[in-house]
Amino acid sequence: MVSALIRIVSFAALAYLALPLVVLVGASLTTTSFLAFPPQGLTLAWYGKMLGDPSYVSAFLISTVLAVAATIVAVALAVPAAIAIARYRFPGRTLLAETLMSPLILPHVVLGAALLQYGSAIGLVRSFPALLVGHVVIIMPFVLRAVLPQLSDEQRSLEEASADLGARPLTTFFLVTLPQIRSGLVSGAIFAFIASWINVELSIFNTTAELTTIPVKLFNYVQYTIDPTIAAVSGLTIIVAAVVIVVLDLTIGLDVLSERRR
Amino acid sequence: MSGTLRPVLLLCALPAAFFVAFFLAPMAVVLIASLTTPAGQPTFAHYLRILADAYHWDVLWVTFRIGARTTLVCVLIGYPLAWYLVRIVKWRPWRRFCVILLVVPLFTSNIVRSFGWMVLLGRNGLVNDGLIGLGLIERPMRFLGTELGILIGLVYILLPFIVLAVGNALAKVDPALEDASADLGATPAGTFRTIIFPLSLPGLMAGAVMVFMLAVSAYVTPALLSGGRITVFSMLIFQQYSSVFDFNYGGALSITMLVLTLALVAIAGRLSEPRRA
Amino acid sequence: MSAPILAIDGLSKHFGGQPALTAIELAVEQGEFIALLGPSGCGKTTLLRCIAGFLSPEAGTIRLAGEDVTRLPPYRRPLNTVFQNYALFPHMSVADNVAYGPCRQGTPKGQAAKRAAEALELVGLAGFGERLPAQLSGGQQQRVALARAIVNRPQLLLLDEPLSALDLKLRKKVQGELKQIQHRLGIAFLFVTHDQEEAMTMADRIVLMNRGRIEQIGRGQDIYARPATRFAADFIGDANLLAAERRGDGSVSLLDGAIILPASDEQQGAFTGVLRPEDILVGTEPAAGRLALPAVVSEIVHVGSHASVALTVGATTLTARLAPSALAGLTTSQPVFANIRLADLSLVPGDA
Repeated sequence: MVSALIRIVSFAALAYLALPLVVLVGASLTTTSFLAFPPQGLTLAWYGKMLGDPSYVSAFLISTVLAVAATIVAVALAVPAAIAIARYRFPGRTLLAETLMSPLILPHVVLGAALLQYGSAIGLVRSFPALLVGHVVIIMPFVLRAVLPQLSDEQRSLEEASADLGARPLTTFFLVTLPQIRSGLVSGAIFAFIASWINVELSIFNTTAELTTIPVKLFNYVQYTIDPTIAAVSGLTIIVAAVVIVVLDLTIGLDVLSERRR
Repeated sequence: MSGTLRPVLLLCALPAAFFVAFFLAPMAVVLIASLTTPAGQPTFAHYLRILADAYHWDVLWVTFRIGARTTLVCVLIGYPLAWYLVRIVKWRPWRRFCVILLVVPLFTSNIVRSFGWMVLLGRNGLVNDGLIGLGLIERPMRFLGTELGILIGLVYILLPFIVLAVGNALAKVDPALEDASADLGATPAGTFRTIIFPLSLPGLMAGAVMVFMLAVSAYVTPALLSGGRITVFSMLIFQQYSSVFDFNYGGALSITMLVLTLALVAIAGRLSEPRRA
Repeated sequence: MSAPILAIDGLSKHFGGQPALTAIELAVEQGEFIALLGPSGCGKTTLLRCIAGFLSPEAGTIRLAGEDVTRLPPYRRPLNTVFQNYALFPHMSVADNVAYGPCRQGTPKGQAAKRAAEALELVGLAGFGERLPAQLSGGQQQRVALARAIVNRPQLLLLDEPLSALDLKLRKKVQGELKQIQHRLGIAFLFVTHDQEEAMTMADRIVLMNRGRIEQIGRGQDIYARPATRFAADFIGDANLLAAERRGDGSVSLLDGAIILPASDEQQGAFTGVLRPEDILVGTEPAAGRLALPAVVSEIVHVGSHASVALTVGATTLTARLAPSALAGLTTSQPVFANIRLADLSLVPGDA
C-alpha cells in the first residue's frame, strides 16, 4: 500500500522533471511561428535561424570562453588551497576553508550587486574580466568540494614515499598527488564549468548588449517576446547538458544512489 | 612553525588574495555602503527605512512564504522519490535513467527551466489544456503571475537537490541496522520511524536548507514566472542596482537578505542537530 | 524431555538457482551451546539468516519451541541475534540501543531503561549507558550487542561470528565470558564461526557444514575421534588422509598394501583412511602391540609445544606429532618405524 503510494508520487515527480525539457525540445521543432506543443510539423528551421544570428553565436562563444577561463582559474586557485587545507595545520585554516566555500550559500544576486558596486569603484565593470572574477568566486567551491575529500591521509604516505625516493615537491605533485585526485578534479571542474555556463544572477550585473552570455541573453529576450528561436536555444542547451551528463555517467559514473551492498 | 608556514603561504597566497580582492572586499563595500549616506556619513537610515516600510515587510513575507512552501513541497515529493530510487528500483538501467533525468535540469540554466514552465503554464499551455481536457476546470487557470506558478517553477528547479541529498543518506544506511531492528521486534514501520528516518535526517536537513536558501534568494524563476505581479526580495535588490542606482539602500537590502537567510539556516541547523552530542 | 527449542526440518534455500542450503535437519535443546562451523561460503550464515527470518527458505520448516515460524517476519520471532559487526544504532546511546527491544514490545520507558541497565551490568558495562556506540572500543561494542540481544530474554540467541572483529587475546577472554553468561541465563546459543578451535572450546555440540549441507553433528571430541566424512576429518584437527582400496576378497588396503583391514560391509564405494598425527609413534625400533611401518624422516618442524615430523612411507608422506622429549636423536634422512594402532585408523566415505 505504502509502496504503491511511493511509486505513484515518484512517477508523477519524474514526469514533472521531464515535462519542461520535453516540451522545450518539442516546441523548438514546430513549423509554426509561435510556440506550439505538441509541435505542428517538424523542422530544424529555428535552429538554423539561431545559428544564422550572429548575436546568438557570439553569446554562445562568450559563455563558453568565460566558462572555460573561469574553470581554469578556479582550478589553478582551488587545488593549491585544497592541498594546504588538507596537508597542513596552520592558524586560520578553518577560516580559510569556510571563506572559500561560502559563495555556495551566498545569494548570487547579493554577490553580483556587491561586485558591481565594488567594480565601479575600481573600474572593473561590464567587461570580460569583471565577469570572470565573479564567476571564479562562485565556482571555486565546486572544485574545492570535489578535491578536498580525495586528499586523504593515506595519500600523504604516498607523497612521503615519493619525497623519500628523491622527488622534489612539484614532481611529487604532478607524478603522485595529481593522479590520485584526478577523478575529483574532473568532476569538480565539470560542475564548476556548468555553474558558470548556466549563471544568470551574477552575470546580469556586468553584461552589456555586446558582451552577453547565452543565459542572460535568453533572460532578457523572454521577458519581451517568446518565439520558437528561444525554444531552439533552450533545446540546444538541454541537449548539450544531456550529452555532458551521459558522458559523465559513462566515464566517472553518476550512480550515486546505487543499490546498497550487504 | 616557520617550517609549515612557508609552504602554506606559497600555496594559499594567491587563492586567499583573490578571495580578499573579489569576494570579501566587495562584500565589505556593500556592508559599508549600507551603513553610510551617499556622502559617506555613517547612518542607520537605510535599515530603518526597510524596517519602517510595510511594503518591505510584505515582500519579505512573500519571499519567505514562497521559500518555506517550496521547501515543504520539495521534502514531501523528494523523500518518496529518493526512497523509490534507492530502495524500490531494482533494474539498474532504469535507476540510471532516473538519475540522469534528475541531474539534467541541474545542468541547464534556471532561465531555460523557468522558460519551459512559462510555456507550460500559459493560458493556452499544456497544463491548462490538460486540466480542461480532464474536466477538472472549465476555464483556463491563471498560473503565471501567481505564487502557485512561482512555486511550481521553484520546486521544479530545487527538487533534485533534496532527492540527491536524501538519496545519498538513504543509500548509506547499513542494512544490518534494519536487520537488527527487525530482530529486536520492530515492525517495518517501527524500523523506519526509529532507525531509517533518524539516520536520513541529516541528509534531509542539508537538502532542505539548501533548497530554502536557493528558493529565497532565487531571482530568475520568480522574475520570469511572476509576470511582474509578484515581487520577491531579490527583485528589490536587483532594481536598486540596475535601475534606481541607490547603492546604499541596495546594500542595506542585500545585507538584510543575507542576515535573514543565514539566521534561518542557522536555526534550522540547530534544530536538526542530534539530541546527544 | 521438553521439545527442542529449535527444530529445523528439510530446509533448503537457493540463490538464483545456486543451492545455498540443502535438506538441513537440526534440533537444538534448551540451554544448549551449538556452534555452526564451516569454511566461508558453506551456508552457515545463510542458515542463521533463515532462522532469524531475514531469508525465506524454498522448502522445509523452522520451529521455535514447537511453533512453526517459517513464514513469520523477523520481528515476530521470539529470538535475538548478535550481528557480525554488531549493527549498533549509531544515533542512539548505549542505553537506548539496549532498551530498543523492550520498547518495541511495548514495555514502558522507565521499565525498559531498568532492564537495559541490568543487561549492561550483566555484560560488565554498567555506567556506559550514556555513551554513543562510536565512543566504545571494539570489545565494548561487542558486549553492547550482546546486552541488546539478551535483554528480551529470548530462549534462543543467534550469534553471527561475533568475535571475528576482536584481536586474539581479547577473543580468548570474551569466549570465556560468553560461555559464563550463556550458562547463567540458560539461553540456547547458536554460534556461527569458521574457527574450529573456537567451536571446540565453546560449544556443547558442533554442527559442521560444507557446501550447504550438514556434514556431521556431535560433540567436538566425538567428531575429532570419529569423523563421519572426509571433510569432517580434514576440517577438525589435522589428519593424515590415506587412499584406500577395496580388494577382491572385500578387505581394504592402505599405503599400497602396508596396511590391510579385514573385510567390512559397512563401507560402500570410495573411501579414505584417517590417521591423526598424534597417533603415530616414531621410533628406531618397532613398538610392541603396534603395526610398525618402515619410514624415512624427511623433515622436522618445531612448533614449541610439539614438533611435526614428516615421514615418507613408500610413496606417501605421513605427518606425526611428537613431544619435544620424543625427538631425541631423530634427524632427517634417518630410517625409522612409524608405529600405529589399527584401532586409531578410521575409514570415511570419499576419495583421499
